[in-house]
Amino acid sequence: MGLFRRRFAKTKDAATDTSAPFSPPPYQEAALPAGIYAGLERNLDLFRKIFHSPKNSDFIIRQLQIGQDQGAVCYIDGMAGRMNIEDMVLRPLQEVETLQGRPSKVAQQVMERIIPAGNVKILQSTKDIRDLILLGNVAIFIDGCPSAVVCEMIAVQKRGVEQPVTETTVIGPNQAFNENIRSNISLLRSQLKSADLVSEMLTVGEDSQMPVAVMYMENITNPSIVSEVKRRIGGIQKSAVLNSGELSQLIEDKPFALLPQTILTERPDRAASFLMDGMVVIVCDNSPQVIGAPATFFHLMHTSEDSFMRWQYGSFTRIIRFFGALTAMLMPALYCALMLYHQELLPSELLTSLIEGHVLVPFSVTAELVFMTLIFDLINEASLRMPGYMGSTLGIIGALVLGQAAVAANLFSPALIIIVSITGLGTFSVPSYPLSVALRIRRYAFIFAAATFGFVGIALLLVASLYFDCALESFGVPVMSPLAPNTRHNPDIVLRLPIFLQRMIPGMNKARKKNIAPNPRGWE
Amino acid sequence: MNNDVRPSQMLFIFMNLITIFTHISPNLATATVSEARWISGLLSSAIVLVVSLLLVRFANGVSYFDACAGTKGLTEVFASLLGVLFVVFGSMIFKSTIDTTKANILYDTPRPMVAFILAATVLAGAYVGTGPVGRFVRFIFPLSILLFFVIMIFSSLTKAELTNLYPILGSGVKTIAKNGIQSAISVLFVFVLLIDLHKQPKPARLVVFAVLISGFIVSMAALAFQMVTPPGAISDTAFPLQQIATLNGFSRFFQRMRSLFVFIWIPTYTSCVALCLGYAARCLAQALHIENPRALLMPLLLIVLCLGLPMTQHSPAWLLAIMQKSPLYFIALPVLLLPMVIHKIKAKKEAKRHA
Repeated sequence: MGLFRRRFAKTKDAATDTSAPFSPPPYQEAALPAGIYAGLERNLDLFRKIFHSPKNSDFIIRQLQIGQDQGAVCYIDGMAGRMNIEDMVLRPLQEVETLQGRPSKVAQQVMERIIPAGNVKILQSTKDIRDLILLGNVAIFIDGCPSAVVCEMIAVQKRGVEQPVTETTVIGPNQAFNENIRSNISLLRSQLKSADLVSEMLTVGEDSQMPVAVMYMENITNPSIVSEVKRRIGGIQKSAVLNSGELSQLIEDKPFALLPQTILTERPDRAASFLMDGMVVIVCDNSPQVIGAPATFFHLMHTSEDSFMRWQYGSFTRIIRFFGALTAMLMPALYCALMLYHQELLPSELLTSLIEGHVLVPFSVTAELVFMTLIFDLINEASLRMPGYMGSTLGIIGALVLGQAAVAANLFSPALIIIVSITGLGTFSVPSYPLSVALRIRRYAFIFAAATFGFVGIALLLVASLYFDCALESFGVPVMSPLAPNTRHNPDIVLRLPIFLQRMIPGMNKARKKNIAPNPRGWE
Repeated sequence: MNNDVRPSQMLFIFMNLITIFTHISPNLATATVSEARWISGLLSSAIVLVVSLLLVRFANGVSYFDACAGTKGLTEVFASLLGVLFVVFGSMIFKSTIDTTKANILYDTPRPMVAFILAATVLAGAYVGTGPVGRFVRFIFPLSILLFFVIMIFSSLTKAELTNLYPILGSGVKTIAKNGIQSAISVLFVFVLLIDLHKQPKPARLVVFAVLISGFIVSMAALAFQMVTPPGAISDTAFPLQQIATLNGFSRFFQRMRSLFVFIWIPTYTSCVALCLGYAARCLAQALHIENPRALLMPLLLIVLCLGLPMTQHSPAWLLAIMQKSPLYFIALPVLLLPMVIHKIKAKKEAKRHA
């Protein structure tokens, strides 16, 4: 009980102190001895216990003679490359004639003279050695030496750099992140070859030990945002955090709010633009998406392509996208309100045509609308889970259900098919998938409000939801900024004006630097 | 991020609310109010504007709550006075909102039901805080102005005739000026949406800006009105939207106006009441020494409902009487200057002592 209290108190302190450096939760290493032993057998017994060997067949211990001393090499099969271990660890160690000096100094000699690998460390901490073995490193223990030589031999099978799946563009680069954190960091570094680009490595999850890189521009990003991000990641007490999606849910400000408060991207160029805006990018292992924070609503509505194209084209496509988002959320509700309460807004001919189309339908307008929207969402969800080669089948089913057959059977009116189709197009025009799902959920609430009180219901719900959206914050930055509240920003929010006018770093992040381009067209 | 509007803005919002509320109902500016009342309403608004500008001038970066705290034994008096004023104004605006909603859109819906749905939205606004409501109105202000013009153009597009401009030019300067002022006042309520404007501490500039914009809106509306009104058929209505709607001669067109106008006045009215409620809670929490002002929101909303709900008749004359004859209104308003003046004198003394 006392131990619990102490742990709780420590965690609480760490959570409230924003300036405290990152320290993993203490309960993770509670059962481990702080440092390894000098005796080889004791060390091997310790690591056998940690990795449940011999029950766990992946944990390999290879004992060998290193000069005149006994030694052992420990690694996890598959995480560390076997060929690399044989060529760069086992062979050089076995070819050693003698190791000079006291046993405690032997590790230094092994690191400096024998192992030809690039990233080699000498460690004493049991926890550090365990964590690095889990990441695919090889640990070398020598009898009589109270430290281990750990060398990086990571060889986990991962995808190569491929094209983006959810953020495709017509113009611009076609690289996407993959599941390898190292590869992702290098992709980002290839975009921003700056000495000020910092990446701090952390691990998350007691069992998953997921490596996480917190990346930011040292000369731009507000340090309080960086420390807040690290504090939240450090404060996660969950045995397994497996990907960036889970991590973003654990660190966001208001988990019960409907709007996303972080942004996920699979494009290195997009992530690089986040960094240049003073945001923090969180790269997780096993995740092809990185997290950008703090994120605003307008980040969720922008795409990389906006800046690749000339400003007139970028602005036009962006306006279309905002219109699509409004359509996705409000179109069915407006149709419902117009049909039930505000017929005066429709021209007589159109009203007659709509009413005639609905006469034979056995459902009310609201029920018809809800059914149809639900069916559309069903088809949408099914198409996401369906293998690509079955996509054409789904298209046929969708056309049958949403199209002619449903109208011919007098299940739905023809106008409704058009309304739901336009709404669907609006949903697909929203570039952020989490945001489009949020808008789809809100759509049902708006249909209900419209069915009950017409335009008044829609207006009231819109006002109430915008109140909550305006109160929402992402790492201390209001989600509706830089428009609400109005902070310093480039002419790049709803319209994307010429790139040479974009000279400043947005003010909502309170970045260290204010301007990044004093004179973009310096040749003029 | 602070969840409240900056302190210096608080008084400016108050000023806006008082000034704007005097004219918030379109019916106040219509022919149902006699000319004498209309002129007295305008004068009292001018007085309120001057007092409010003085309040902002004295504030100079100091919040009213800080000033109240500096008045020792009178803190509770000053704080509760402002709180009560906010409750009264909130009730009036809420009543006006219920009346307008019921009269124009939800004719058949029972009055308590209308009050309930409006109260739910108002409570949401008051709960999230005055800061987010301020951000919200800042966000929707340009959209509302845009929608206003869209409605105006949409409604007058089909019937515009340049020859119709003759009557406005031939009716004399006095009539034009009177109509212009009436029209300008009737759209002033839109400027409550400016409360979170950047560089808020310069109220004079904001007033000039508000007058210029409203002048632009009104002149556009008047122009459209004249262009689509056949000579000799000018009605006495002064509210631009009502003019435009009436001039078309179709009741259905008028209906269209009202339906679309919902998207301007619902956010404006609900935000006004939410702000009143939020500030009333803050003032009364200071007076009653309650740590969390949110605890007062529900009781205050009940009071606002009780004051606003039973009055079933929409009566501009009654509202004007409250605004112009109520002792609370004329006595309380200058009293609000006192804590600010006391604070200013103390600050000067302190500065002298340090020097």
